[in-house]
Amino acid sequence: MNKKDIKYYIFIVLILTVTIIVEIYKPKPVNWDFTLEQKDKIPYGTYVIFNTLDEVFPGKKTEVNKKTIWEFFKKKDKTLRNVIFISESFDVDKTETAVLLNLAKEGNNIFISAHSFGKSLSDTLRFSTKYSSLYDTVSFLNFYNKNLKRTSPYKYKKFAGLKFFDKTNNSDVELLAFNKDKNPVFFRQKYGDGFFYISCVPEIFTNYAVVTEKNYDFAYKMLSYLPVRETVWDEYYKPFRKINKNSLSYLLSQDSLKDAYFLLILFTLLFAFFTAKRKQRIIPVIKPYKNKTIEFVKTISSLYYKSKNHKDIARKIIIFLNSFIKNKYNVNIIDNESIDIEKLSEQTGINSELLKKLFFYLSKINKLENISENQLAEINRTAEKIYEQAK
Amino acid sequence: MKSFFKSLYLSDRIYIAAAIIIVFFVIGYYVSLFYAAGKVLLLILASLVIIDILLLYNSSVFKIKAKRRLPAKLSNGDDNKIDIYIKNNYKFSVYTEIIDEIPFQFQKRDFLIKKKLGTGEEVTLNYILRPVKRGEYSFGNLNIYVSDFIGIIKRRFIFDNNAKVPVYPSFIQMQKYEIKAVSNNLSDYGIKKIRKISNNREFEQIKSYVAGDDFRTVNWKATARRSQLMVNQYQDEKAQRIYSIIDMGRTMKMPFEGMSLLDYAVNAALVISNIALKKDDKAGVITFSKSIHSIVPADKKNNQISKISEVLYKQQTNYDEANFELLYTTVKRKITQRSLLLVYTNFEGFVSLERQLKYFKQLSKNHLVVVIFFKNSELNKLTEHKAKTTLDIYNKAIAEKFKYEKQLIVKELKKNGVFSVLTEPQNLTVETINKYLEMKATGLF
Repeated sequence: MNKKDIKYYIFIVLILTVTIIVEIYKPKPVNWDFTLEQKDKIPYGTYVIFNTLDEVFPGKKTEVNKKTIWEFFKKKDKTLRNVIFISESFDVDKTETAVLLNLAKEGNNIFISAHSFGKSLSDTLRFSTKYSSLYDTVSFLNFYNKNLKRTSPYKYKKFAGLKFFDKTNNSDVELLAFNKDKNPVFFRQKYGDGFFYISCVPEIFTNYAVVTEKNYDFAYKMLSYLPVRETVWDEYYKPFRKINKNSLSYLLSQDSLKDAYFLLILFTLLFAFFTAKRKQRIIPVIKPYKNKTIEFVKTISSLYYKSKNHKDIARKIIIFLNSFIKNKYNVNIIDNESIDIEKLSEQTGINSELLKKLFFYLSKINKLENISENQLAEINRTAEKIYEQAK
Repeated sequence: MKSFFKSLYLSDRIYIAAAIIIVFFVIGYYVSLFYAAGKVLLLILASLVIIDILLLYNSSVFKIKAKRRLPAKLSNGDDNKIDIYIKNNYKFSVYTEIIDEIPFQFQKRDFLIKKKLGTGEEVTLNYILRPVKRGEYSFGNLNIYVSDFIGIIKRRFIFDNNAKVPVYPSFIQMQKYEIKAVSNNLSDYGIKKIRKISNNREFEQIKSYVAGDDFRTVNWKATARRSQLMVNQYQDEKAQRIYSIIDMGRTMKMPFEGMSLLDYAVNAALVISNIALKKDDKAGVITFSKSIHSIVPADKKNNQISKISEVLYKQQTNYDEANFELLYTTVKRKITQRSLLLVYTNFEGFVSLERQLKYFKQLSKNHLVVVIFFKNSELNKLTEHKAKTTLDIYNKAIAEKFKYEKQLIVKELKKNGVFSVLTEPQNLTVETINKYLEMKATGLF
């Protein structure tokens, strides 16, 4: 390490330390993600409810399902269970719906709480959801059941615009809870030997609702409709599964891809250490002096150009042309009345027509106050041709 | 171990191989055969790397010998040849990449010479440097990257750390023109032969008449004494004083082909001083800008040219405004005998000449003054193309105006009895020698 560089290293280390300290001690912003996952202790996680399921179903096993339902139940025995889905949008396809219906038919209880439901499921069970017409920051919920009903409804401040079911007149259905507009938010429907328990208020099960609002018993009362059985808690149909952070974990689970991945990292490191290193000393930039003649001339000429004195420029062109011809052939073309154009043409090899044109301009230019841009261009063209032919 | 890691480099081949293996692995996800093939390839690659390392690092002794051969000094504004000697002591042929850390002044960041060396082969390579500033130049390491026929790794060898070389005013040009001046072959370089007019003849000796001698020079008295035909022999006038006066002011900063006018002038001054000394004249130098920087009185001692060279090498300037008044008083005081003053300066416009003209006029009363100034070859870039727009016409006309003014300056100087040389910077040396020879031949001083 170069002694000169040491201050830079110290500086870098200092900055890193300060950044780390700041990162550790700064207040962490609250994560308001609506994950509904059992391991999350954030407001919208379901850590509390999951870890207190023992109290709802005492002595019974609780399983966590991380696969699709058909994958999960493929290998299961026929023990009757409660299956709990807490999700935001419960988008199950036809096959999954068939599995669910089959499970219910066999006598399992399917408990689903979500904002929206897969079309095949809602079509089969013939229900649909709607938003409360009035957006209010406060929601009131209560049960139909006299034993569960509270005189003052359950009040939720944080969950505005909850949904409700607008399904009516279905004989299989038993409505269980309603909101302040007396619209149902929780019902059960018999299907075969089992029941579907469907609600559209998953917020009720979040940590925030259970802990903060002091309405925790609403969630437990909802769950208490389920019989005391082995319970399956779903972790697959969750809002954040789609952006699964662990796509890398799949890559690493495959041998060939894992090897390719590690090889890539290895050679990136090798590149950094053995190829990207310095091959010769650092060459500081030394700016050479610039020849600014052209810039200078352009600045001066733009000053002339602003005044638009074309005649002046035309006269300059003629003077330079004169000095050129005078130096070369010893003939003065300005103010020379006795000039013999034919002779000059023979002497210089310049086309006599061109010379006639030139002298025409010479005689004309002095009489004019100013000349136009086109005339200037014409004079310049003539001069350029003369230079060319005289060479 | 540390030196092993420091000298180890990987070539592109290893990454190409790695990329192929990675592709094999990815395909191996679908076709497992490729995965197996990839593993085999990886194994081969790993063993090749180990073999390669063993081959190149089998001895702690440097198996490559190399040396940069620098001249004692570099010549400013000329192509200087630098030699690199390199020898391969490996028992196999090697591919070398040579990266010489040439001085910062060249701003060259892509220096690379590639060379294949057979077993025991030694070669001397060379490259060309053209410095455009006087001063001390410092070379860094001579890095040689060696790879063998496998070519996966490269080993770096470092030689010749930190060499310093001064860049002197162009001694290469000086020697070139010196030989030509003595052998009278200057016409090859565009230097004109001037017809000698006999009024500058100085008597040298009386010698016996040989057929072919001009019989107008017969010395009758000597003939009578020796009773044999004797003729007078004449020679060019000797011991005339030539001063190169270099303006180191603002106007000399302008660069052409990377080199400032000042350095062109310094080079030309060195050449002309050398030629003057060879022609038995006395050469001296005065440099000035705001103040007088240095004076080397005209002399023809043996070490005069090295003295002038040293002084010119050391010239530093801030490019202040040149003080011609001070120059005049200094010349008046210090140069008492009639001398040829070659004044290297530059005038971009007629007005700047007018301010200095009186000093030139005064100087030319006692001395023969030649003002040497420069054509601005950059202006040609504006004038040689046909104008398309009106603004082009303006640009062209104004550029012509600047060129024309230089002609006017020549005329004005001539009118006032001051000689002048108007030259492109690249032709300065030749034009100056021409003028010097012309001045000598016409016997104006």
